[in-house]
Amino acid sequence: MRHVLLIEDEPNIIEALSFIFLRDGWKVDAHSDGANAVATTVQTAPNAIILDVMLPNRSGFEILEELRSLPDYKDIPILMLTAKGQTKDRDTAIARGATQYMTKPFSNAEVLKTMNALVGHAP
Amino acid sequence: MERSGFAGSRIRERRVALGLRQAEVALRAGISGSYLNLIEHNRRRIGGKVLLNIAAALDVEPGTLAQGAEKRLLTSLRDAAIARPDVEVDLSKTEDFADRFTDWAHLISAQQSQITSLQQTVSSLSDRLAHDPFLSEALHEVLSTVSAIRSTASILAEPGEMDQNWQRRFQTNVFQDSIRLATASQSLADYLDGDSDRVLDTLSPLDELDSLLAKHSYHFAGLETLPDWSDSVADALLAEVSAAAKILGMAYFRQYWNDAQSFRLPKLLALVAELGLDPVRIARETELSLPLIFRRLASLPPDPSHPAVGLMVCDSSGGLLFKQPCDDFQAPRVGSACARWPLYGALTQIGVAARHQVLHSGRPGTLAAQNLFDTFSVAERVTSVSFEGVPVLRSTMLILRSEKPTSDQPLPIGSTCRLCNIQACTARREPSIFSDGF
Repeated sequence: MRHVLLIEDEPNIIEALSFIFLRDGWKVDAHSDGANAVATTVQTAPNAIILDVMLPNRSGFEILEELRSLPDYKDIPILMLTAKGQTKDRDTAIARGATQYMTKPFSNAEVLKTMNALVGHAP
Repeated sequence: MERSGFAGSRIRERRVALGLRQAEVALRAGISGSYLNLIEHNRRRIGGKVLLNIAAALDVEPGTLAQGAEKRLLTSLRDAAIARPDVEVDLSKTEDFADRFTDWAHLISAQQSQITSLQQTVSSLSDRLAHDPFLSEALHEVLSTVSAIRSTASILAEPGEMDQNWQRRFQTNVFQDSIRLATASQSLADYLDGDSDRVLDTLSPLDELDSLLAKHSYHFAGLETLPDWSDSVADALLAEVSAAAKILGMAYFRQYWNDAQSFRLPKLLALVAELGLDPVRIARETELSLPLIFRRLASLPPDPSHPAVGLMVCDSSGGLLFKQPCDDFQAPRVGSACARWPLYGALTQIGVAARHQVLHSGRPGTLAAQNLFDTFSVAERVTSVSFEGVPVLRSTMLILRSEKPTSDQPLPIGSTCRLCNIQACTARREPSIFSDGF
C-alpha cells in the first residue's frame, strides 16, 4: 500500500495534501513539528515522505540527514518542500539525500504525480 | 553624422573667444584649415601631437580641451571593462573605440550606469535577504500561506461533487488563509515601503539608537551647554525609543555630556579652526585622551566646509558598539564588519594609536579616489587592571574623508565580505556576491 508521511507545519497544507492523497488511495500520516519527526517516521513506517524545510524546532535538512543515516530509511523516497526557492537550498537538499525537491507554492497535481512516480505507481 | 569626441566644440569655443580665424589657428598648429574645421565639428578624432599643437596655438592646457563629456564617457567605458576582469579588453584602445563607434560607446556607458545602479539594489536586497530575520520570516509566511490557498483552492475548483463537510472545511481554510495572507503582505509592504525605517529600527536596540543619533547628525547642542547632568534631559531625547534602546541611549548621552565637560565645544571649535580636523595635533595641544578627542570630533555640529567624519567603536569580540558612518564608509547593518579595519588591528596593541589611509572597496569599477579615508584608531582598557574578572577592552576608530592621497599603498578594506570585491583577500570569511554570485 502507498503510505505517505507529511512532515509539514502548515495545518491547511496538511489538510489539502491529505485530501488529495487519500482520494488517490494513499494512506496518510502527518507530523507538524521538527523535533520528533524522525521518531514519528520510525513509528508510522511510511514508504514515502514529504518533508518541509522550515519546521519548528528542527530544520528539514537535519531530519533528512538523520533519516538517511538510518538503514531502513536510506532509500525511502523523500520529496522536500520549501518556501525557499534558492539554488543553494535545492543543492543542499539533493546533497543531503532528498529524492526530489519542490518549491512552494506547488501544484497538487504535480505533487501527486511526483510521489506516485517515486513509489513506482503507474497512473 | 557626428563622430568622435567633444574636444572639437571646446576648440571652437576657445578660438572664437580669442577672436582667431580657423586658418590662423590651423597654420599655427601645422594642419590644414579644412582639417581643423572637421575637428571643430567633432568629425575627426583628436589626440596626441595635433591636440598639443592646437592647445599651444590656443594657449590652453591640452587637458582642458580633453575634459568634459568625452572624458566621462571614456571613464565610464574603462569602468565597464574593469568591472568584468574575465573579459579581455584592450584598454589602450578605449579612445579609438569611443571615436569609431560613438553611439555604441554611449550605449555601453548607459548600460554600465544601469548595472551599477542594479548592483547597488542587489547589494541592499541581498544583505537584507541574507541577514534580515524579519524579511526571511515575512517571505516564508507569505509563500506558505499562498501555498495553502493554492492547494486548497485547486481542490475546490475541481469539477464534480465534493463531500459537503470537506467543502466547508476547505472554504473555511481558504478564508482564514486569505486573512493571514493579507496581514503578512501588509507587513511585508510596510517593511519594503513607507514604514521601512520603523521596521528596520526595531531590528535591535543599537540600530534604534543609531537611527536616533543619525537624525540629530550626532550633535546635541542641549548637552553641550548643560551645566549639571540630568536624566530628564536624556529622557526627553529618548522619548520615542524602546526601553532597551533607552538604556543604551542613557549611557551614550551620559558619556557625551562627560566628554563635553572635559572638552568644551568653544575650545574644540577654536582648535579645529586653527589645526583642522587633526586628532593628533589636537591631542598634543590638549593632552586629552585620543578616544575622547575622536568622540568629540565625531560630534561636531554639521559644517559643510569640513570633510565627512565617522566613528566606529567595538569591544574585544569585534562587535560594533557604535556605528557612525562616514559617507560610503559604513558598517554593515547586521553581520560582521571587514576584519581588515584598523579598528580591529588596534585591539592587538592596547593603548597604541595607529593611523592609516584606507581604500574602501566599493562596487567593481568604482574609482579609487572616491573611496579614500584617513583612520585613527586606538584601543583602551575600560576596566581597571585586576587579577580577577575579565578585562573589558574597547577600540575606537575615527574616520575622515581623505582630501588627498598620503600613501602610495593605502590599506584596502571593505564593509563586509558579501558586499566586497577585494580579490584574494586573506581575511575573507565568505564569498562576495559581486564575484561569486548568490
